[in-house]
Amino acid sequence: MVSIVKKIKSFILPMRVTGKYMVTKPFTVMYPRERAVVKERWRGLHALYFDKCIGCGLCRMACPNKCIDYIYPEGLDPRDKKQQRFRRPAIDWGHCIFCGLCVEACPTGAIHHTPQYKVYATSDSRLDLIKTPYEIAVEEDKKKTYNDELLKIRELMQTDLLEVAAGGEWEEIIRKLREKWRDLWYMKLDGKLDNKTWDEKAREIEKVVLDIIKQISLP
Amino acid sequence: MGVDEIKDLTIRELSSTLGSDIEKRDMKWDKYIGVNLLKPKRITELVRVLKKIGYAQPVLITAVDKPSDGVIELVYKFNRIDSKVMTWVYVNVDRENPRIPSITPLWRAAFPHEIEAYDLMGVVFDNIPDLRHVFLPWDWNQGFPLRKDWDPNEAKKYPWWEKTREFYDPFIIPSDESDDIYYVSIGPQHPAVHGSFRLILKMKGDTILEAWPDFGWVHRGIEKLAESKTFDQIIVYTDRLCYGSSISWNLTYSLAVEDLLGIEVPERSLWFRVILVEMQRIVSHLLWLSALMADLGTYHSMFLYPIREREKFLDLFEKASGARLTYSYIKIGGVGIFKHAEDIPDNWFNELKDVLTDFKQRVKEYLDMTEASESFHIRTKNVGVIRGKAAIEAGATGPVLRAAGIKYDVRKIDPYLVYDQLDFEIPVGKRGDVYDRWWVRINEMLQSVRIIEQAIEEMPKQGPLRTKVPPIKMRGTGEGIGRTEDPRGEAIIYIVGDGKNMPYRIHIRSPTYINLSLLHFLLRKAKFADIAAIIGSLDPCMAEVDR
Amino acid sequence: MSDPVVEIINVVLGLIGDTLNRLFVFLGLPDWLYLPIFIAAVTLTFLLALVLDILFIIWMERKVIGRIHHRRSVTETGPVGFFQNIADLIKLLVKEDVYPANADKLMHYAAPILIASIAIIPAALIPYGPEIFFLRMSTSIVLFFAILTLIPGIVLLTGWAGNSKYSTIGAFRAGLQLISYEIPLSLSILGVILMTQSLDFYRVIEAQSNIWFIVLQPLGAFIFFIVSLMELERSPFDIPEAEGEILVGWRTEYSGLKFGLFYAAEYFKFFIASAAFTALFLGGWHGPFFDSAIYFVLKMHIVMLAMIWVRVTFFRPRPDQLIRISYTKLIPLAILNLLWVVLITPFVLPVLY
Repeated sequence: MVSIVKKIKSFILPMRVTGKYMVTKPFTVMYPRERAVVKERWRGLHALYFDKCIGCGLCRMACPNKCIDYIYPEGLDPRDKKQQRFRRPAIDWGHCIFCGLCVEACPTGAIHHTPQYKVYATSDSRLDLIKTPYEIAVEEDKKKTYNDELLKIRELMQTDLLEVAAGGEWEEIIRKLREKWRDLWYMKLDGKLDNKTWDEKAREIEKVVLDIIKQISLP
Repeated sequence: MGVDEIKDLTIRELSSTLGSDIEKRDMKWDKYIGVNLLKPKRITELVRVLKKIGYAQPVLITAVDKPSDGVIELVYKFNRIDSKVMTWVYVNVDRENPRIPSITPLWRAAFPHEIEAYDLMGVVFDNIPDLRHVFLPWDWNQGFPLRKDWDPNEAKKYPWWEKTREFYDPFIIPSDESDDIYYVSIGPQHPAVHGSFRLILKMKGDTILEAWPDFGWVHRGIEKLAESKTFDQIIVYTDRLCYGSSISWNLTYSLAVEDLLGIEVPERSLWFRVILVEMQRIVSHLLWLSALMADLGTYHSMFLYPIREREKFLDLFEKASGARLTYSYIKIGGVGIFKHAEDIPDNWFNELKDVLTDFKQRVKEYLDMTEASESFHIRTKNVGVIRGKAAIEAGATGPVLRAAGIKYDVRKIDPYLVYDQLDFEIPVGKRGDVYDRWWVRINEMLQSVRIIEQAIEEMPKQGPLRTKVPPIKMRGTGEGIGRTEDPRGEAIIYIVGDGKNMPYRIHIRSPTYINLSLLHFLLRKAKFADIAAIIGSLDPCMAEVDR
Repeated sequence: MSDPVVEIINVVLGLIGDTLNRLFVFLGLPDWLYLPIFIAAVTLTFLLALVLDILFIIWMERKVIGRIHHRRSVTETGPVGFFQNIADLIKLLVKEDVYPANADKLMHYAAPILIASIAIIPAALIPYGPEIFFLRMSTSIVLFFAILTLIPGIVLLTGWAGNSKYSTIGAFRAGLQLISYEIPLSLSILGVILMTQSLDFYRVIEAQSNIWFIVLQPLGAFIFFIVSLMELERSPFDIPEAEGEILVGWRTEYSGLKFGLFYAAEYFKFFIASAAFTALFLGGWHGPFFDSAIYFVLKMHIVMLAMIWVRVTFFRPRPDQLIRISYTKLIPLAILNLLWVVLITPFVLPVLY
């Protein structure tokens, strides 16, 4: 007798549970229409406090994936150790795993995560995902947008992010181009090259690099 | 038996059998015994003695490449069920021609470790039943990747593209033996939700005669990669070992590094680590539950209800750590980021208590849907049975072993963090079938709730959560071991350091890798429709199998 | 009060008759052609109504399953997702038609058409209202279930025409399910037949004018419900379709419109199985104030709701366990039901009709 009751219950109890949920409000968040709630500590896209950054170099050492490298503002010499405090990090969001080790390593809290998670691409170029420090700056007067991709490449040629982004067989090629560019840059900083020649020669190299980046960005 | 008695007994027995080929080694841990074996050929006798004394399993066999000494050092670790004593046996084999007798005929549990050592390091074991490559392709002859002098460009010479079709095609081939017997390959891509692995079956009609699991599809070379990253950076790799339970791997690694470098952790973080790891256990078991239910029925509601509970826990994790799946939250020296005044957010513990109260009600609903329903019982009772003794011999740990009747849990045997101050029980099953494994895990979830509630009460309210370790101090020599109870079994990370700030060798024991070799036994005489239930009950997480 | 559905149908028939009349006068067609074309037009109208109902049922199923799973389902196309079916239909229509190279081309094309057309025939045998029926035969129950038995045979044909090992094995599993449900099906209907001493759906529904058979023979209704689930190959008995890991089932090699026809056939079977349940056990068109086809349709949809609810609640048994359930549990229960019917029929007979 007990087992018959148990058998009957074995049909009714599960149906009671599912029946209860048939009449309750669903748990779903209709994402594109309602906002997805992200908590404030979410490790989203980075932002940089330009004035707090001291150019120490700890974020680059901490990154497990080699996605951060430094850009010196216009006219400064990277070989001069005393001017190192003016360099600022550029980040490649394509390779970044958003682990938070760079934020943890930063002694002043200059680089930090924002809760933003939407990455907007305005074109299908890989270059959109590599952000210069001016693009991730928090202070309004430091922000810059790049209409011409060659300008962005001129700044990014100081870093090794382009070759890491290209990867594979292009890595060697871009590295050699970068060495040539760097030699030209040092000559310009030392005064052995005037601005016009520097601009032309550097532009040649940058065009080649831009072609390569466009090649690897093909969808 | 007490720790000292077991140690004395072991040393006595070993010296009396092996005499002068053994020398005692100084270990920095009091609870582990270290022994150097000078003649590799006598390893089988040593193992026979250990088995007689009562050691349970060879829980890890590590091969460490030492080109400067011209040897490969093999470290065998044996554990016990009744005590925390482990015996570590160190053997050196010649690097040019590494051969050593295999202990698989005595102990089946050594088989996965030995073929891994052969596959990646090149140590040849004599008398092993089936010496083959497991992570690398079957016909690989481009060197052994984990050796220090291996050139990565060699890997490009393997004909990967031509071999793709052979790897990925599923097949059904009739065999020569009889009309009824055929070979089936259930290919690496499954509709079932378990990750990529391949199962080759020999079937007669609807019944399986033999099964060979085939891993290696998700191999990322984490052990080799970790040799070129600093200790801080390897935390990110441990997250991605098993993404279903990433905090417990963070913890295992942090314990290993803290052991190696001798770092003290503040007390408040010990309690908080316990809370996080037990929450992770609940989350991982909920994911397992939904995957198992999806295999047993179509569109089943029990596929989605545990995911809904999991969302609530993941929200809590997100509030504290900033991510939902790969947290990197338990770090070397404590928990979390110690800068920018980031502590546990306000009100986090109250929300946790609410979620736990709600969760206990939901577990009652799950039991209504599964245990009270007879369709669940006929699918899971007496399906995939493995008994206690066979399970230990084959190397199982974790809920699989506990369902078979053996009460072995690292949290009670060899307590780490503050588990010796907490009050909880270990659920143990009787028959060792799918139903018992399910029952053990459901009860583990309820015990975890109990642990978290106690820990919230007893945790100190103020205090630092992490000790700051300056980069200069992040280097060390010697060995470190972290041994924890992962939701899937016993997880061990063994680190050898040589004074640099990068490890010399990391070896990861993933519990699922050993548990899946049980499939060879579990699938004999099972029906085809049971495969999904049996594999689901072992809780496979392929990313940690392949590392 | 008379049946409002009869009024509507009269209006529709009048409309069709009028249009056809004018068409005939306009085109000058001969008189003997009128009756066949009238019948064809009426049948097509009925089929159209059926297809609209099927669209509604498919939508309802997806929404209800979503609700039981505590989530939202089908929300984008149309106000509450109602046009999703039409979108799916358009997608299926524009797909490429492929068939395996070594398959029998005739069978490959014929099988879906056969199943869809055979599955819809029994819908004509059931009376939906006291004056609404296509055919009134004295043995309509027997013909109904005989036609339904044809379908597993065609399923075997489909699996064979798919010409791959997976689809053949799936077809054999469907055959296995066939031998599990046939006997309990006949036994459970036998109870109703014995009580009403008639093989006609119309008489069975008339016999329930005072009390429904689900109250008199609860065990028989329960067994018929479970056997219907097996016959429809719905979860929890969807062994031919949702097989473990490699076998997708007997429908593997069919894409595009052929798949659409199989899908439609599945829902036609759903429709007629729930209509049969309503007619046999739930009192057909009888209702509170007047007898009307509206009640029939309403009860049919409630039965469908129950079948959907059961779908997401129970686990799927193994094939050998399915046969064991059928032969060791369902058949003895059905025989018990027969004993019960034999015992109570003499006392119940005055209450019927």
